[in-house]
Amino acid sequence: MTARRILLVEDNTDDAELAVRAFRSTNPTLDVEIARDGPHALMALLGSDGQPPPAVLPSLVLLDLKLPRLDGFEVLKRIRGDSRTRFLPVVILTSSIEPGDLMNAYWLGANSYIRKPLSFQDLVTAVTKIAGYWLHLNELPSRPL
Amino acid sequence: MARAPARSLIDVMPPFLRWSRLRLRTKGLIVVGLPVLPLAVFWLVVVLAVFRQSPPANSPGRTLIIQAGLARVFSDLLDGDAASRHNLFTDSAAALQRYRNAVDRLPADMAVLDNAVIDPSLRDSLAELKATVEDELTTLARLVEGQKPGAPKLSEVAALDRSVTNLERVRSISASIEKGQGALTSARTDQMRKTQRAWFYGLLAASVVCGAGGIIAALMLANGVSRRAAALSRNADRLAHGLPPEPLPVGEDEISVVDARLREAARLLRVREDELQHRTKQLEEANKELEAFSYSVSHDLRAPLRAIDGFSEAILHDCADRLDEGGKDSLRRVRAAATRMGVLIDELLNLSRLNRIEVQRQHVDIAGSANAIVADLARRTPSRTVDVTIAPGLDANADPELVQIALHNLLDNAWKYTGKTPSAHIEVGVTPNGVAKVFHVRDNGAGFEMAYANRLFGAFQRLHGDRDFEGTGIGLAIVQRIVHRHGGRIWAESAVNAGATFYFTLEPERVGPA
Repeated sequence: MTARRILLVEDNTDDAELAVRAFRSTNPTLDVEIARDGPHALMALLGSDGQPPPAVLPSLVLLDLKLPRLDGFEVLKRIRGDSRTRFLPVVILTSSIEPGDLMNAYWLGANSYIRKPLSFQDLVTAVTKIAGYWLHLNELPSRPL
Repeated sequence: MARAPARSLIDVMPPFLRWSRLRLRTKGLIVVGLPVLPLAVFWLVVVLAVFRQSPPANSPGRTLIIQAGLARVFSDLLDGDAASRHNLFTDSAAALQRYRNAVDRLPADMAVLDNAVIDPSLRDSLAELKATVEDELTTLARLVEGQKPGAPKLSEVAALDRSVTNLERVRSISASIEKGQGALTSARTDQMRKTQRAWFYGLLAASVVCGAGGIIAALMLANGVSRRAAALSRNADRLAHGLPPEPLPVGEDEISVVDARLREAARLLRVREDELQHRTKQLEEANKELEAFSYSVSHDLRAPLRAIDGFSEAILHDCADRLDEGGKDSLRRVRAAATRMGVLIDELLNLSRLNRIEVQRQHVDIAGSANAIVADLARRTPSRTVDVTIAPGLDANADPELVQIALHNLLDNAWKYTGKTPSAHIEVGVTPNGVAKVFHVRDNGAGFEMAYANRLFGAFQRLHGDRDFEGTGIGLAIVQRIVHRHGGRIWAESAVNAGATFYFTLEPERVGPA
């Protein structure tokens, strides 16, 4: 069984590193790949002009909304618009508590929406639960990947 | 284009005929003055006739005087003739005396005639009469003076004949004078009748023309004024509805002045309105900026705090063996401070969000809400024993979510500030003040000095140090904003260590203190 991989789309290096730490503290075998902006995230999932798409998709995408170049909504829209990633679990991890952002994210097909907790402990709790749920869901034999 | 001929017609008219260019005052004077003009002429004629009367040569009275004068002169001459004949034949003294009397009367009677006859055509006849009378007097004098009793001499016979001839002449001249004077009088009467008729028809025509002119002028004035006034009032309506004014019917009277003032007022109003719109736009932009700022606060200010907390945790975790207790404590304090700052930022955002939320009024069970909040507070601090009295059936017509937040803050405060009171008591109730329900939340806790009451509701204003009672200083600011969004007001009464009571209403009060 291959190590499970998570794609973390996050432009803030501090937040990215803290998220990685949180994941490692709960499951040291997790492979966390980081994309710094929208285009990089899409390249990692769908490939681009020069780059072929990855052979194996990540099990889960953690997506920030406020991103350079392409924002999280646009990235989400493109993920849901491609047949290969239509059912890929995407969890929004953002600092926005605007009701409009939340509604928009669910409307575009996000599977869950987490506000980035201030405290590291809360972050660990959140990612443990979220990642555990969605990774577990992906391991059901009936679900194609 | 259609109006061009009319304008040019007006332009070629003399100024006093350019009716539409006249002021209302001038038009009014014309309307009143025109019909009065013939009356004035009539009275002028009457006055002149009364004061500048000169007796004319041909009045009926003069004719009578002349007739009488002629008769007297003739009778004087007849008397003189008869008396002198009598005297000639009888030498009677009485006859001589009658002759003298007649001759004496004659100058006076002639003088009357001389005065009365003034028409030039008759003066010649009068002169002839005078000459004849003179001749007759000479003749009679010769008869009287020259005569001696006895048969008359030849010269005396001639004188007698001459007297008869003279008398005949006098009679004939008198008749001609009388006839001439009569003709003059009847001519004068005809003339007077003609003049009277001319005046009558002239004044009648003038009255009709001027009266008609006055009526036409009055109609034109009334019509013009009402049309222009109607246009003016339409313009006022149009301006009130923000439409551009229509041109007024041609004219340069006082209504035009009012119209010009109206247009100027409308222009100024538009300028003000533009300014207002500009300011509203600026305000909207400022609001948008503020919202963007709030968003950015929520998004950007929290990121460094996450890093501070996360990496402090990382140090505590990774370098635990290299840190002494003091170092670890410092890091824990850093993390606590970051958490606290996060809370502050969140509360500030909540406060700003209250301005954007629309108040949706419905029936709110305040008693039930307060009971639930108190139950929650009791569950979170099981060590506390607080005696809570909530008036049953408390309700209001307000936004349930906002009222819940306000109640939560007030009860949380009451709960917190009774923390050091031995037998804590909290009471929630209502007192109608005749206009609105005045709700209150009362506690017997720490209270505050009334001198600082005005600072209670300011954001981040605290009357107690963190050492005594923890808090961010934002709770009452939120409560106040919620109350204000409902159009209500909030105030507090307290004394140090004697508890505090917060009063608030959730509806506008039209009567009572502001």
